[in-house]
Amino acid sequence: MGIIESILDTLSFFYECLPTLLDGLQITIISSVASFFLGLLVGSIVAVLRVERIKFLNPFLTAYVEIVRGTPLLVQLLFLFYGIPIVFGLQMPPLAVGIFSIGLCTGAYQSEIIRTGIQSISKGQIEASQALGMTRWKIMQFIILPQALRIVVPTLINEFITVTKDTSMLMVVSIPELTRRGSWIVYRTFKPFEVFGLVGAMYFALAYASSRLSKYIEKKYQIKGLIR
Amino acid sequence: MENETILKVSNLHKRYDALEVLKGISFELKKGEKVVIMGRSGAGKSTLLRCINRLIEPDAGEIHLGDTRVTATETDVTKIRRRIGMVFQHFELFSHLTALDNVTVGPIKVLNLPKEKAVELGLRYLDKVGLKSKAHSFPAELSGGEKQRVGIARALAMNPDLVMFDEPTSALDPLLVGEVLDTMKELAREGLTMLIVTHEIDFAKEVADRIMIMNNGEIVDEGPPSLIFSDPKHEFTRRFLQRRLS
Repeated sequence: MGIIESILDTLSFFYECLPTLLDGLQITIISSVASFFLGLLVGSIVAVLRVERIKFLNPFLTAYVEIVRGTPLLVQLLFLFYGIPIVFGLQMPPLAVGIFSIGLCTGAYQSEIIRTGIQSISKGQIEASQALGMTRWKIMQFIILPQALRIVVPTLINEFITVTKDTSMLMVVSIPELTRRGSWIVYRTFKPFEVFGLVGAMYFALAYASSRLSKYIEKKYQIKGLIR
Repeated sequence: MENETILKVSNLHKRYDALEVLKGISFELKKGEKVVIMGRSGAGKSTLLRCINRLIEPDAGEIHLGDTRVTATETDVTKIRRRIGMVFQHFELFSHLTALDNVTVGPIKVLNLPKEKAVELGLRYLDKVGLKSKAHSFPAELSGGEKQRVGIARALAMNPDLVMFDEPTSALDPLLVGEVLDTMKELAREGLTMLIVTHEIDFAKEVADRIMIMNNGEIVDEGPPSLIFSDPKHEFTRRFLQRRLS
């Protein structure tokens, strides 16, 4: 009865791994959510400033987006992780640097997503709000953004799933998130197949839950009768 | 003050590169007056309306709204625009807001009216256009005629000095044109100052104090409907009306 025994063996091994991995999952979730919302904040601001064509800021914002898009996240992460303490003489907790780096990265992508949403709002509605005497910031706040953000919710949640997976790179700067803890166990036990299988399943569960959440949010904030 | 001038446009010019869209338009609009602008598409009618509230910047000429010089560079355009209602060909309702919120968003966000007051006002205007029962419907749930009537209520709720209508029935199913025109006739009876671009000849005959015929960026003919329709001065008017009536 070798098969049943080995299955039971594996299950009990999983059970032993679980506390370590769940601690890692917690850090993964915290850093994903924090980076994502930092990115949402940065992305919204950058998107609004770019469509409003603030002259002196525009080159900087474009450079930010292009640089982030044109370099690997891993390089950005290492650059900031080792660069910030040297350049600014600032000692920050690794997790904070990690969240900051990934947040800046996803911020660039989110700004492009939100910008697309903003630009999809019809010129006619903008004219109508101008004709009411609204200022450009009020138009942005009350007419454009509420519609644009609804449109981009699915794309943003998609970006959140990407961020979740990207946090696995935090392992290279010694943040004990899910993937890093998985490797610890592998070093000790030499069971990469089981461990990384379990780690992958945890990422998958997180991603799947997010995509369900996306459907829910889409439904909840759907504009009645409107088909896009 | 029945004869108070609400709007005065003098020698208005607008050009897009080689294309001169407005070639020196001048006219006045008195309080309570209803002026209908007719003309072929491309004649500059929409551009004229959009220059009046500076959605489009005119190149030259003067516009006065009451005592305010609209065209002065130091004039705050948002303060001008809140005094001029505008109704659009394609309605341009805010699709994420209910009919009621479409009507109240201006009074709340622009005129800083307290919410309860604005709601009361909004319901009154929706009632006026016959849509109180649709107050909580979203634009996508309304018919074209209903959307346009919400558009009219939205303009009225700002209590403007005048309302400009830019082909308000051109995008409508023929069956729905009547309800919008009836609403507009009702407003005309109540003495609203109206500047209307339309192709509806019967409506113009009934409602207009004055009709202006535009062609190639100029007003080629102007006068009360009786005169314009029975004895058009200009050859263009004759041909234009003939084609419209046939």
